[in-house]
Amino acid sequence: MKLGLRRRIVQGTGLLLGLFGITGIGMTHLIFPGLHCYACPLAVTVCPIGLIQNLIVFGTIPFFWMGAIAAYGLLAGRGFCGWFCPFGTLNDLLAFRKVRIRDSFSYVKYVVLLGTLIAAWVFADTMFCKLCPAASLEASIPYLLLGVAKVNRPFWLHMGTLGGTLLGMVLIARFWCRYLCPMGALLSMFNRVSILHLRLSDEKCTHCSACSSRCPMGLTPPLDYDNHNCIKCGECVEACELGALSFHCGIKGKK
Amino acid sequence: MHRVGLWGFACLILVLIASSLGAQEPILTLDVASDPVQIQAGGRAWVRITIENPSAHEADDVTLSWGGSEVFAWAEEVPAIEVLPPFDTETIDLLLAASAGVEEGVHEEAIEVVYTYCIAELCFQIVEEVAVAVDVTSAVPVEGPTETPPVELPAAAFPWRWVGGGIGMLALLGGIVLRRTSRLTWPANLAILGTIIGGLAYGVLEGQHEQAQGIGAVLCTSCVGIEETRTREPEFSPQGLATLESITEPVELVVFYAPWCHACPYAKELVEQAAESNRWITFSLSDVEQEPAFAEAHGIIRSGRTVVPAILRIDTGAVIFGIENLEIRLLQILQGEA
Repeated sequence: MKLGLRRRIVQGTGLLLGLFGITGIGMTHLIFPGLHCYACPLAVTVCPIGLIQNLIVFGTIPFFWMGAIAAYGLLAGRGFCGWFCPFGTLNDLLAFRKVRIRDSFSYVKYVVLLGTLIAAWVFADTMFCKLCPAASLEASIPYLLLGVAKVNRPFWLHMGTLGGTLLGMVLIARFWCRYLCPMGALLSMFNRVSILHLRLSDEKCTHCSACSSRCPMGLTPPLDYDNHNCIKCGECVEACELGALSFHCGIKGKK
Repeated sequence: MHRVGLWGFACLILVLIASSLGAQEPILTLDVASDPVQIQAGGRAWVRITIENPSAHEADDVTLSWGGSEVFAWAEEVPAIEVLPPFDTETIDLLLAASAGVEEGVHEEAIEVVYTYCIAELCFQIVEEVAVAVDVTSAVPVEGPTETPPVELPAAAFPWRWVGGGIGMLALLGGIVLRRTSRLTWPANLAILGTIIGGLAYGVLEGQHEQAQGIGAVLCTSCVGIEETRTREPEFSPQGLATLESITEPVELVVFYAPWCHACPYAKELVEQAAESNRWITFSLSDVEQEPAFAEAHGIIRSGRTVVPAILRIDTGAVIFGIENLEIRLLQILQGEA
């Protein structure tokens, strides 16, 4: 089975898990390994970003959250962004153009993460959730249809951030994941130590740039195969006909 | 095109700032009941202080210290109020002592109030002085203790949990840095694995998995931004009060709330005001986490999803959700129109 097809199947599984509430199962104890709003009427898992904001507001030391995030990070790092996260999948579906822009802007997502945590503490409220485009799509719109949400200022604020994000996704591949996702920022810290990782065979690589042209994150895989932005989607692995890039599972030491 | 990310970020910051505007809160209000305080030179007198929190946010670590001249002082250690919930009022009695050499007459003194208040731009500590007059006489006996004697300060426990959390975070970050910078992988792996296993195990022991489920299961309409968070105490309009007065039959309401619902105090307060203004209206509170079956029976929990705040009129079974236009909808439900 081709790698791309495998990824679509796993992404579909992530989407199904996100909407598993359709089976009647209520909220579980699981923390979702991606950005998926727990306010979605069909969600059965907690959004890690929403949860940590609530824990900050209530002054809880987040032992369970920290253990879960570290476990996800160690397992696959940002692999969850490329293979599992429903909002990441939406980025893929809307990626009609693969515009390469400066990588330095990708550090903005760390500012968003830090801002989210500080805002929760300062305002004693889940401020990021009030702007989150995933919440707009998965909670605001469904609850408007269900008659709970109203077309008011918070709703328009949500629609504004959703509209801007969707536009960004259309214009730039993986726009949200690259520049703004706080969950991506969290997982990226584990990217270089995760069990699932990419490996480059220097002998096979001819630096033909076939992989770079396919990378949705705008990376140059022969140089950036363990970059904090790599979502391990495997586009580069598929693109390389010489097999210079490959997936590996195991503990990776410093080269 | 490369500026799109930067513009997006700038917009995000602007929206954050914009959304914080208008969220300014009034601070705590204090009232000294026995003003002027009658006290004998070298004697003691009780001072009753009422602290009201009129906002939708809690005030933390409220402490009262004597801010006046040194001839007066609190006779006992003053207990701090750890949390003053939204719209709540706390009354405390403090024993004031006067030195033997204090001059007779009225002294203009002050009580210093320090508390933390998280609202608007930042969490900040507020230090305020409340004026209090102390009338020193030579013939006033010491007043007896009031109904609510001062509580004893609990012994401060060592913050083991904070230390544990800090160690876990440091171990995790240290492990990641070590793995990325050193060939010594096993201590790094041990630190990361230790954080994962320790964090999950201790978190489960602490019931944090249940807390996560609870937070996820409750749809607090303002928490996810599908409704505005009200930061001011609700108040019925004159027309609303007139409509309330026209209700002449018993109406029993239940306000469903969750501990982490930011909009719930607003709904609770409005219903409380309605009950205070008309004796026919009674209400009770139901924590959806403590009474899930009750909430499920009335449609507050549907398919494992809870929507709060919700107000139920028991005899008709009508329920209203959220706080949008709550006064109008509450009056409708009270009149049996909803």
